[in-house]
Amino acid sequence: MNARALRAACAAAALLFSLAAAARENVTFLLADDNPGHAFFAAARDYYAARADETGTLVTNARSLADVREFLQRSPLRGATPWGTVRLVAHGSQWQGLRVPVFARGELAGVQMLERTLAQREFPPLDARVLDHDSRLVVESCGLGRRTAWLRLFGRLFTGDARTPVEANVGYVWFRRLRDAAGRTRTAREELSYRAAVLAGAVQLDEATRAKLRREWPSTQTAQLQFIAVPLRIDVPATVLDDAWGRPAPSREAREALRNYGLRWSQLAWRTEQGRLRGEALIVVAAPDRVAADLRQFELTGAL
Amino acid sequence: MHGYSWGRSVGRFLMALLVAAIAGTALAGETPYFQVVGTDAARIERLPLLQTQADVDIVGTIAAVELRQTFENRGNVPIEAVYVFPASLRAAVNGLTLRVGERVVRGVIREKEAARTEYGEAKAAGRNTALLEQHGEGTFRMRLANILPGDRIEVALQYTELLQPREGVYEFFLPTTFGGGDYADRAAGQSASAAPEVTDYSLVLAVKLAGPLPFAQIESPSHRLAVQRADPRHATLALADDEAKAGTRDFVLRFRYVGDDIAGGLLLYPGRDENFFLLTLQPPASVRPEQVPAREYVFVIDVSGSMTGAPLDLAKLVLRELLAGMRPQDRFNVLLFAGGSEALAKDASLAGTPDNLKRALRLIDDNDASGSTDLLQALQSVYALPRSNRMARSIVVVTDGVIPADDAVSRLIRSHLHEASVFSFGVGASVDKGVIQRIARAGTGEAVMIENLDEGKPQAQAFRRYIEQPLLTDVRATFEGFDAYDVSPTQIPDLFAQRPIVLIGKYRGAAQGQIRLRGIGGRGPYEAVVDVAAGSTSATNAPLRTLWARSVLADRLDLGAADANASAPADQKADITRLGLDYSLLTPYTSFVAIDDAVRTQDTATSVNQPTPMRASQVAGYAGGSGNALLLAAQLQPALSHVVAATALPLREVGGRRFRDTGDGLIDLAYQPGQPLLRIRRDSPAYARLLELRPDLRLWLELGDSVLLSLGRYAVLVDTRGFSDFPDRVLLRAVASRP
Repeated sequence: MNARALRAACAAAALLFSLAAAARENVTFLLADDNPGHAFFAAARDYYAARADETGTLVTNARSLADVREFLQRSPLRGATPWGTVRLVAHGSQWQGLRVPVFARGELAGVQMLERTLAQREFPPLDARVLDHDSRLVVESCGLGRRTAWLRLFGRLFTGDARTPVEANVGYVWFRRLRDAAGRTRTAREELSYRAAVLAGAVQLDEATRAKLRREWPSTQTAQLQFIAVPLRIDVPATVLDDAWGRPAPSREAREALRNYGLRWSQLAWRTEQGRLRGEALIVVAAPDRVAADLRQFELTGAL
Repeated sequence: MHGYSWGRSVGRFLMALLVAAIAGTALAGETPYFQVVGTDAARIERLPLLQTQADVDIVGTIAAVELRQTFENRGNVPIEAVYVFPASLRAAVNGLTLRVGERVVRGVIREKEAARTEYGEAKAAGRNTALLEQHGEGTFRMRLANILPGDRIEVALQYTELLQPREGVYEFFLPTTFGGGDYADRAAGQSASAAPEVTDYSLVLAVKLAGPLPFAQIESPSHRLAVQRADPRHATLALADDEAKAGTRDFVLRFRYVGDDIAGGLLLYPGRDENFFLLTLQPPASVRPEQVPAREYVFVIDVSGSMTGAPLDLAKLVLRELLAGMRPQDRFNVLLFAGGSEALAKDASLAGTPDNLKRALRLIDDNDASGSTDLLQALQSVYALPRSNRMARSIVVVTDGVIPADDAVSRLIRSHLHEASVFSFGVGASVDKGVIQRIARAGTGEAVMIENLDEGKPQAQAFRRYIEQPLLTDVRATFEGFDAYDVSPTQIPDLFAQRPIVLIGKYRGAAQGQIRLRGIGGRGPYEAVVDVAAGSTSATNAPLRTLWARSVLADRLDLGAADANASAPADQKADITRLGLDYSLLTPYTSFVAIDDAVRTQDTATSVNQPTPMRASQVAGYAGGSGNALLLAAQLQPALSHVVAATALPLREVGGRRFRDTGDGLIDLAYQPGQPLLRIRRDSPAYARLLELRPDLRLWLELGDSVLLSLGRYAVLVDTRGFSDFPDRVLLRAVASRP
């Protein structure tokens, strides 16, 4: 075969491959219901229902990663090829992991739970006929793209190895139903970039912290910045004596808790008290509410 | 991700709030009997006890009991019968009904003397009349006049009782027999009989159980049961068909909920004139050593003459066992009492070192164990010892009970309840159980009886396990925006891990606001808040009215004049009388009387003596404790596993495996949390492969829709939500090891 023929064969193979890839089925899972007064999942459902090609099959009754796995394994909608894009929509955070149980009514999919499930071989990995290198696992949840350890474990949970790429948002994901001036509704998906700070020992958000976080943004955006402050407390047995300087030293339980949250020892203020090791911090997140800006700019109103 | 979701969940790594405490169930071990009073023995047949029927309705923590004893007069002359029966010390007797032939007579509450007068007049007039009085502590007497030949008499007694769990186990105790010799003395010459004509009467039980949680286990160590369960939260029980001579044993029923949870929470009953509440709070299921506050034990040991020999050896054994569980931060002291008292350490309690233990034992050995006893003075000495507020003090009274422990002792203990719980150990074969129980009840502790050295060690160990876990000390309740009053107990005892805190009281106005409980725990100050509006309001909570009155009655009887505003005895009597009349409650000063309108005879009633069934010897062992709820609970684990498998449906035994039926499925009791669990869909290739590898598993896996089975290192859960495929190597590994 000469070079020209080789190029032609490669082109034909590439064409066939791309056709095959295009023929793959996508599937999108909405993994929870809204709490009263909120419409995150309702808006996400409308959003994905309006984008059939991107969404593929829209599954709204799965409530655990095991449910997702079983659907991927058993559903005939997949056809003869592995799945294309498998999208999971759920609440979560870079610290907590995905707020979805691994097994129905079980423990949520944090780092420790994923590790334990893998170690005990309780979650059979899917083979390459179901998920392969050209499949994509997309986690539509806030900030999990910043936890590479969690992403690795999540990929291993579904495939047993790292063959299927896992993607997750590094920003703050938001689905909203909007209504324009003419009364028409539409849904919007936004991924807001955010800055986070973990303040050791802080108990409330003060103006100095706000100012510090504002400095990390362009001046054009600081007016839109919204702040969320969440207190974090780790309270575990103190099995290790204080260090040579009389400072608390990390116990095994403390290290495990930190790893589960993706935090460092130094990010919390620690003290020992009556056999307990207590670490406290305030997690502060700042993000520009561009949706609010859009609402103003395009004369939209939040709806439903 | 939403911001609000962060705020709700991040950082909740550990929570450790749980609370509460309260008093113990006390059991009575005495037996009903009829004493038939008359003069012409030749014409009178003994009154046969035909049947005892107990209709027991247990909803959550409240047992409503109707006890019906049926007797028949087959003699030739009218008789007057005297009916003596025991009940739990916590039973609140609030009703009596007599059925003589076709006539039904309902009792009404009266002052004791007035009731006697009415009864006497009705008896003289030839009417059917009945009088129910408190005969002694936990013993009642019913007099029934003018029962004609051929009459069949049914005595229906209604009472309610609050069941309080120990180690998550609830126990309902129904005394039906005549037990100890001490009781015979108190029963005015009545004796027990093991004769067939006395013991072959039938005992009928109809028990309905309704729980707020699924029942994990239901069992009876005293009787074989037939259990029917409509659903996981309800059960009906009856004696098994092959249960013989059931009436010769006191009935004991034990149950517990899934996860050893308790029926806790806040119950509300808004009545017509007054509103009542009951709060039950449970401590954490498992106690970590760091959660236990520093403890101080003060052993008050009787060294009077009657303790010489085995009783004193038992006392030392108890001391040694209890000190074995002490931690470095714990302290102890020993105070010997007889005519006077002598303390091991007068200034401060001692650490539980081997040397200090030797000193304590030497102190006991060097005492000559003679003279009379003065527990009151000994307890006064104990309360005078210095005490740290951050230590949970437990006073352990060890005595053979042959001591004058009168109302003054109870009052003293009650008045210092915020300083210390008091436990009592009755040692020796002739222990006076009444004294032991009275001391423990006043101190909101537990009473334990040890009759011989053989049972001393396990019982002392069980007792140690119980008292070494005080979770909270200095417990106080405040009511914020909730107008609570007349709350019992007036002083909340220390919280021990194996029992809940129970508060019962009244409230005015709306059920709103909060109940805040504070205490000192092993990790410092502790606080729990209960939202009153979230309490459960139901007509089924109506017994709270009677239970409140019973609880207040116990408080007043024990506290009496120890109150700072010292009531004179006459005032106390009037106070209790008013309580009984207002709440239709049997008390030492109020009685039920029932008088029928019809005049049935002009003849004078004659008499026979009705013997009482004697308690069968095989149950004397457990019943001998007569109040050892603590030890019964401690011994429950092996008893449960043995008895429940044979009798109660919550557990199923198939092919040598035992399963707990949770209502949602069957769980192999061999399964341990943490075992790798393979979840397998029933209609799947994985399930087919599993059965191919282990066909023997089919026997168990097809017992229900959802079955969790332990395979040794691994376990499998087969249901409709599991995985349809598993790698063969995983299944092979799972089935390789057999349990």
